[in-house]
Amino acid sequence: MNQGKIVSIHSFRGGTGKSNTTANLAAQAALAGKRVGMVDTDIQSPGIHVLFGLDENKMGNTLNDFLHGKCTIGEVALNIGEHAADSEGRVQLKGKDIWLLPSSIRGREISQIIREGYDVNRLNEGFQTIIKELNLDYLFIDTHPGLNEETLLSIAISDILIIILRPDNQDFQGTAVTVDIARSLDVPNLILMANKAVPKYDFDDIKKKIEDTFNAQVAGVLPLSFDLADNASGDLFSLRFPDHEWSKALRGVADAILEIK
Amino acid sequence: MTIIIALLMATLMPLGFLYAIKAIDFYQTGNLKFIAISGVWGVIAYLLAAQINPALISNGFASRDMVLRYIGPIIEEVLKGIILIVLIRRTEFKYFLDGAIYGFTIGIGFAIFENFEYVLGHSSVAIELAISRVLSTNLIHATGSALIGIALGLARFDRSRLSRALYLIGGLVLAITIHSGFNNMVNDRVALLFAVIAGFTGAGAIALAARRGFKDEESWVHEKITDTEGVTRGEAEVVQRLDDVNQLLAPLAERFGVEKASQCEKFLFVQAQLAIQTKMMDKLQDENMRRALEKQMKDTRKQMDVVRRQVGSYAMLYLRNIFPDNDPTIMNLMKSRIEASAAVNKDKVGTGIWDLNDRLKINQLKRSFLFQGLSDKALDAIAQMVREHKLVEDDVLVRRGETGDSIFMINTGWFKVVTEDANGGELIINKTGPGEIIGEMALLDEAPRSATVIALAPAKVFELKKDAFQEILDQRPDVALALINGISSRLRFSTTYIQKAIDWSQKIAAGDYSFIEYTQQQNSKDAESDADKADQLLSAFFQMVESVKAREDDLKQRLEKLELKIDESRRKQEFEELTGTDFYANLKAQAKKMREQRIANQDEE
Repeated sequence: MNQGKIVSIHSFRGGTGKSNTTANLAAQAALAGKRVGMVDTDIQSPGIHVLFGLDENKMGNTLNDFLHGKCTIGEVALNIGEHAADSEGRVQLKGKDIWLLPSSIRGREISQIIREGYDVNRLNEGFQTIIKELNLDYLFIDTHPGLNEETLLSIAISDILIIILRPDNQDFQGTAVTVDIARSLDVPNLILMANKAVPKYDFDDIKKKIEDTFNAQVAGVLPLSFDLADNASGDLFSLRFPDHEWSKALRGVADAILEIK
Repeated sequence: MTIIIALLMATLMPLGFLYAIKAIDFYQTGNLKFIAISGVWGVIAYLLAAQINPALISNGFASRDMVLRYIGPIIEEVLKGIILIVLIRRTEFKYFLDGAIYGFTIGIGFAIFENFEYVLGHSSVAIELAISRVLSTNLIHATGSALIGIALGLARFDRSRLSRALYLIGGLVLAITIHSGFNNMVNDRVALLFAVIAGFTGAGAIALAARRGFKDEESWVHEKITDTEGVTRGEAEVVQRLDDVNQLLAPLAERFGVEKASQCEKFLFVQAQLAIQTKMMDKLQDENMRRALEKQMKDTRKQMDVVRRQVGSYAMLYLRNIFPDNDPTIMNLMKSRIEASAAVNKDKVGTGIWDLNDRLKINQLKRSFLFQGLSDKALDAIAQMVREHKLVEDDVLVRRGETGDSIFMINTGWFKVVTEDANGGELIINKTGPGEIIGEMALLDEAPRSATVIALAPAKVFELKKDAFQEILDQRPDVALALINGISSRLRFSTTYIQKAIDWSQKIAAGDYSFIEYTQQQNSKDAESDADKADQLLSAFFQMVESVKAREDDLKQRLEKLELKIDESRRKQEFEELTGTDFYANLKAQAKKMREQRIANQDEE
């Protein structure tokens, strides 16, 4: 039997729609019958919980607690299928095997971890443990943008690295370095995904240009969408609006992940 | 004989003063019937006073001196004033100018009969007496009651009864004071000269007051004439310059005769009166008076219509166009005269430059589809109304969005009819040339101009003002019909245009741009049908589509440009900075170990 795969979702800059993509990819995998976990390692500015309608009160233990040794990693995992299938999109996750390991959104705890730092090895151990405990097929890691130590760690331990970029100059430059790092760390599967592409461009052309530039697979070009922005991160967009162009393209990326043996 | 002369002087000289005061009533708001009533009342007041005053003395109620100095003036002014209190309620009594005239008339009526008494009673000095009385006492009588009239006229627009009564009492007291003061002065045997000065001072003051009243009325006319019901703009303009009415109407008298001119004059004065009545309606507070005024305004309008018919439409057209918007400069005038005579000399011999110029205009007007069916006589009248304008290339004839009060007939030259596209660029929707009419839509529906019309080359147009145009439409159903035909052919063109635009837009939507080349070929040909013309006009628009397509292609290229901007040396430098740390070396080693271990684990399972 295959061991669970770690899927890191990374982008060089913030604002690429990383958390949104992570949550939707994880949800699609869960819908496909996989056992899925999500970790929000963007400890400095956590965001993924919003997409599952969680607030301070609904969250139990957080990744911060685990990193400070206050609880086990298993105690951090929150069963979404059980606890958060409460909106038009998320209701489809009812009974599915999908867990979220959120970061604390308490200001004091965020500033503490930024001030004191944490042991990245403990984070790594946590990943391995939770995969085993929950018998996960996939652990999706929502990373902090840029290339700091914990990001490098999550890239290093990934089986699949998904790099999200917007088709513009700045992202191209940053993505180029990230791709180089991933290759240097021997990440076995590298997938690029363009998000927030302005619809007036020819998407096939964008795809080809990115693939040529980075010599890597582009699993999807997702359009910039006001509908998505309007959703205001309140729900899982690809579940709620499955016929939207963005959702269709996202499922393409999810398929690319699930195809990897 | 001297008696007769004296009596005549005693009668005619006061009437002369009255005439002078009446002349101030320029708009003739004062009513002749009321003036007659006032005069008669003056006589009645005299007869009453002639009974009362001696009776007071003979009954021993007061001394003769007392009556002469104080009681007489009181009784006489009150008696004279009574009729004014009656008249003031009537709509014929408009303003204090009327009050001054009615009051003055009463005083004069009174004074003439008093003059008779004195002249007849002192036949030896009849003429001297007549002259001295006319120049002093008569004027004081007239002044006194005119003051009451003025006070009442001022009181008319006041809301409260109390203040109206105060006006009346004030006027009465003033009149009595002046009258009594004068009588005291005369009784004390001051020199005649002072009495005359007093008389003229009083009458002069009344004349000044009356003049002031006229100025007010004049300002009302100016204020109200433009929105007085039934008065057209051209007419209003003439009414506003009524002060030199004779000069205004001189050319009209020349063309249409003196009788027509005087009818026109009457017409204009009726309109001025209507304007004053309109203003009065604003000012009057009393409901009964307002109702009466409303009725009178109705009558005035009826009268205006009667006179309008008398004047007739062609003279009326002329009247309305006495003041064109911009008077042509001397230079233009000279030029057009020279041109006209040059053009005419080629033809036959004429009777005069102006007539021939008209002749020329008539021939040019005939070229327009609108006026083709009209007789020369009718065209002659229209030729009087139109003004010729010369334009050079790029001159704007009408501008989209502006309100228009003229139509234009193109005489020579070509124009483009343009509107704006969404980006503010010029979009030609039609081209138009000699004989065509421009701007009739704005006149008919009173909406702003629907498009801008710009000269493509030097051009000449005739301008016809809205009033004149509508008068023609009223009079000539055939012109109205021609107009409808013209508009309908334009509508048909619009339909073709829209149909083409839709067809081609659908092609563009389907990605078919091939027709653009076809329309450009069409552009070089002469347009014969509406469809050809629409092709040509639209080709400019659809050429824009090509540029849009080019811009779109350009946008698609941008990604390629982005891609080229990866800075390879920076990429390399950043990579080295990130990987050059102990942490990274350690991480890389751990990652490798971990993966190997996992593969081993898998193999075990």
